[in-house]
Amino acid sequence: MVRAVVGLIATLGLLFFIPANANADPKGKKIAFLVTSPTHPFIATLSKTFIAKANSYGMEVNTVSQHFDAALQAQQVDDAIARKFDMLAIIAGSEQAIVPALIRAKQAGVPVVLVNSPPRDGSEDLYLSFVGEDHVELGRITGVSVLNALKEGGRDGGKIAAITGSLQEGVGPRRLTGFREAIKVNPKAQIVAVEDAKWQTDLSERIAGQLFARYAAEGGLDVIYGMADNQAAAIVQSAKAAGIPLGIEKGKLIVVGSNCLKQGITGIKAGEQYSTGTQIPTRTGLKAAEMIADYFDGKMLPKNEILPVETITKANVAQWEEACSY
Amino acid sequence: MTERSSGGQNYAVAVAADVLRARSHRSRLLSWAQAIGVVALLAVTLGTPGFLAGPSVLSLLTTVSFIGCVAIGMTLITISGNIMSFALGATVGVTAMVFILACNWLGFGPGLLVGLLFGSLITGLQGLLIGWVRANPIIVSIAALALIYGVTQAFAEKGTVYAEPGIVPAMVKGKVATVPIEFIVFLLSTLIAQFILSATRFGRNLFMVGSSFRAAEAVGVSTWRTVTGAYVWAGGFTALAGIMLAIRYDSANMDYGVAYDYDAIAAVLVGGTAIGGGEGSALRTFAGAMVIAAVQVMLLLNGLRQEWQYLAAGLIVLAVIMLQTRGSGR
Amino acid sequence: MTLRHHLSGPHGRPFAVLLACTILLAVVDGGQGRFLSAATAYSSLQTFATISLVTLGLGLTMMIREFDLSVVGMYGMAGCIAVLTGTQHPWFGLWLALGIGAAAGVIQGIIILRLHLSSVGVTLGGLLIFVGIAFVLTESRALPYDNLSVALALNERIAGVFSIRSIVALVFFVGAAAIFAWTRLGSEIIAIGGDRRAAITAGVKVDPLVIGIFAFSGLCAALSGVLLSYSLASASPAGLSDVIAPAAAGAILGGVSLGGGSGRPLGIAAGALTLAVLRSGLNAVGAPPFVNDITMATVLLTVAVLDGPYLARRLILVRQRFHAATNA
Repeated sequence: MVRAVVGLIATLGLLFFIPANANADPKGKKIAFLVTSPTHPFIATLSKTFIAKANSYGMEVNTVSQHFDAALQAQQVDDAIARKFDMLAIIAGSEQAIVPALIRAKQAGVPVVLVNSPPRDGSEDLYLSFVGEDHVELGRITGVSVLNALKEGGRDGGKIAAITGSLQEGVGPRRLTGFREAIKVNPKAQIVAVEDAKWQTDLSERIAGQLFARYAAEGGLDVIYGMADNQAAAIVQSAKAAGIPLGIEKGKLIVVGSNCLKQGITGIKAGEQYSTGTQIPTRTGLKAAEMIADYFDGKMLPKNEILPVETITKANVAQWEEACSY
Repeated sequence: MTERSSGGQNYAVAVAADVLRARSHRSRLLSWAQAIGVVALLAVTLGTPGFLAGPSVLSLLTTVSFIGCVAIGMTLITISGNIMSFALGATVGVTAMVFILACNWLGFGPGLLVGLLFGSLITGLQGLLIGWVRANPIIVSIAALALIYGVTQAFAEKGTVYAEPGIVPAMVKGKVATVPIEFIVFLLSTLIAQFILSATRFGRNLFMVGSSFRAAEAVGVSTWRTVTGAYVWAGGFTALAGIMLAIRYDSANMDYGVAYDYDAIAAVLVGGTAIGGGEGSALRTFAGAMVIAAVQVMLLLNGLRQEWQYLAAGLIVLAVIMLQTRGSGR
Repeated sequence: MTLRHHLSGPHGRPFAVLLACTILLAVVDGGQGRFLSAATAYSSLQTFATISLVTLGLGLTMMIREFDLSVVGMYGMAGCIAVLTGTQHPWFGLWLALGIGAAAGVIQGIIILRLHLSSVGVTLGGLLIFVGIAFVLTESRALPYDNLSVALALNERIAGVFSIRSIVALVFFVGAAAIFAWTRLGSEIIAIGGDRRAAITAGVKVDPLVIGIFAFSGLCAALSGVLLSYSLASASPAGLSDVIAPAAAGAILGGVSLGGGSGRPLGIAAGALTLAVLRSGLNAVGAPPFVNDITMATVLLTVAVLDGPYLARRLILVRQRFHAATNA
């Protein structure tokens, strides 16, 4: 009898010491959602999906945005900490500049989930979990796709150029690293040029034109990798304007992308672009919301929730068409 | 305007004489520098393998046309004495989006009209404030920039608008006698602007207003109509750039036109139009745009990394400005 | 002199605007306590720290009827220089960047004066050159600044609402205000802006002052850039923050006009603070992101129109025509 009473009192007492987030229920929790580049279709779709899904769990989402303004985003983190949000979901504009703010979030005990933009190496203890694609892997499968295309066309190697997104930090350098790794497998396939076009469409077209000219004397380029599909589409335009045929046969230009935008799907269906890779904003948004709800339900989150990437070619384009049209 | 005391007048005359002497000395320097510069540029371009190759020239012609049209518009604003506008780049993006939406809704022809009117209107409204009330042109353009980005964010949920397949006639997307259509549009814009500037009363008024607002008023020029007109035309040319981008890529978003303002004003200045206003020409801006583009291409063809291109552009702009003969414009 | 008299004069206008914005936001907040809080105060002061010094430097150049466009480039370049050289010795990085900022301002000032050129053109060239140098120095990469203790210390809260960065900015403003109030420098600067020739005739040493102001503008931009880069533990050649729009807006709100000859440092501080409060306040009351842009644009346009030299005569003309039309 005495033991039972002591046990009961002990259990009741324990209830007072269980930390606040064992209030296991996502309902009513407030999330601060910090996004970058809100007018970009990828981010816009990701946001919409995330907010809708989070709301369906009863969580409130307060969105703040900035357009590649690292100072403003760091401040938004500080603001969110001060206003005592239950969770910060951050699409980081700059993987480096967000670090001090993340340190402050950790000191304040506010949990952080990083979404889509890869975190800085070595900052693992500053966030709960990262949801997104592995961009090194995305670059790698793009490289593999290039080697496949060369082989399919009967070429045993070739000259490859890469017109990339911003190589300052973030996604660009990672995809390039993976791409280089994959291409190294075939010593006869050489990456002869890497140009930073900052994800811009018209700049990519201009650079493509210059690359055609630069390598015309050496027999022309075999492959151009436009890191984003809007860039790949611009490269296709440039090739058409320059009278360079597109395709996998020898003498034709192979164009690949890696982030499945609508332009890429259209290009693949038309046979002008060879392949692209999967980077689906709806997937990321849904997953991030689910994981945050899981966290509030008391579940442990994996450090990295890496969403699988797949190459999209003419063979499987029908399957991905809808997901990539946003 | 009250007259100065005679002592002040004499001093003013002395300063003016000094400046004129320096100007004529500098104008000789400028001509020499321009001649040497052109020769040097020709030598290097001809010496660079691949510069004159088809693909290189073609993509140069295409991409210079987008910034070029904006630069033509900017020229009118600069000549009117209002230095520059920071909102033209954003106008490119928003006009491109409005154009695509209008095309999807109404068809290509009406879409074209809507796009041109839209760009002209939003820029013209800025001109109205600047011309009628003489509001600060830099501030108005910065405010317009923020307003455009804010409003598009509010309305354009999806960020990118896509053209319905087939709505843009294939004919406008190609070349005419191997010259890209975009470049033809750029050429035509230059000629139209040059015609306006040199052969119409509006053009003459524009130069007068840019030279001296008060003197223009004194002679009876309707200054506010002139300034507003300059901005309306600038908006029209900028709209052309946006429309061309939208046609070329079958889609539009606010990333189009980012940083075009700096490129455009650089083209205007390198072409020789004075930042202070009151003189300049569209042909000069055309040349300035081509020169900057050629230098950029050349650096790339010679394997120089992107970062050196920015530095080179800056040095060229500064050098040209230092050699400009007109003094500080007020 | 009553408060209303102070607020309605040209020097009081910036404070009136600041007050109006604060009241407006408090009303929008509707008593939910989101806006009027220490969090918002800290956030406002942080934004203030980011933009206010550049606003002061730019504002001073505007007061003498010039415009220093190069602050944008110096902001980024100074940050890159400091981060590249200041990991082990943060003070060295800071002083080097400050020195370069001041020197660049001196060079631009000399070019402007000796060659009788427009400052917009020369500083545009300067801007492009600084951006170019930043890209070359960093090889187009964003650089990490590994001295995290400095990074954290700069933004650490002091007395709940301040930080080292905001205190540095405030000290500069107090200093500038003191110089304006208690030395001849202030009235000389106003004189140069109002009528340069008259100032020369009056014996003002125009050239050294103009060069000094450009040097100060470069210094302010460099200081802001370095502090920001250190506090974000990162430097980017493309710049870490959009600064020209808030700086110009802050200066204009602060009572400076491009026509020159008007403005006071404390007014400029009020202008910068207004923008900071707007941004933080709108964030606090949960306004969607674009509202800040639209609000800032509206405020800017309103002030630009009200400041327009021809507003008065246009309104009189309109009224006359209206009377004529109704009496005819």
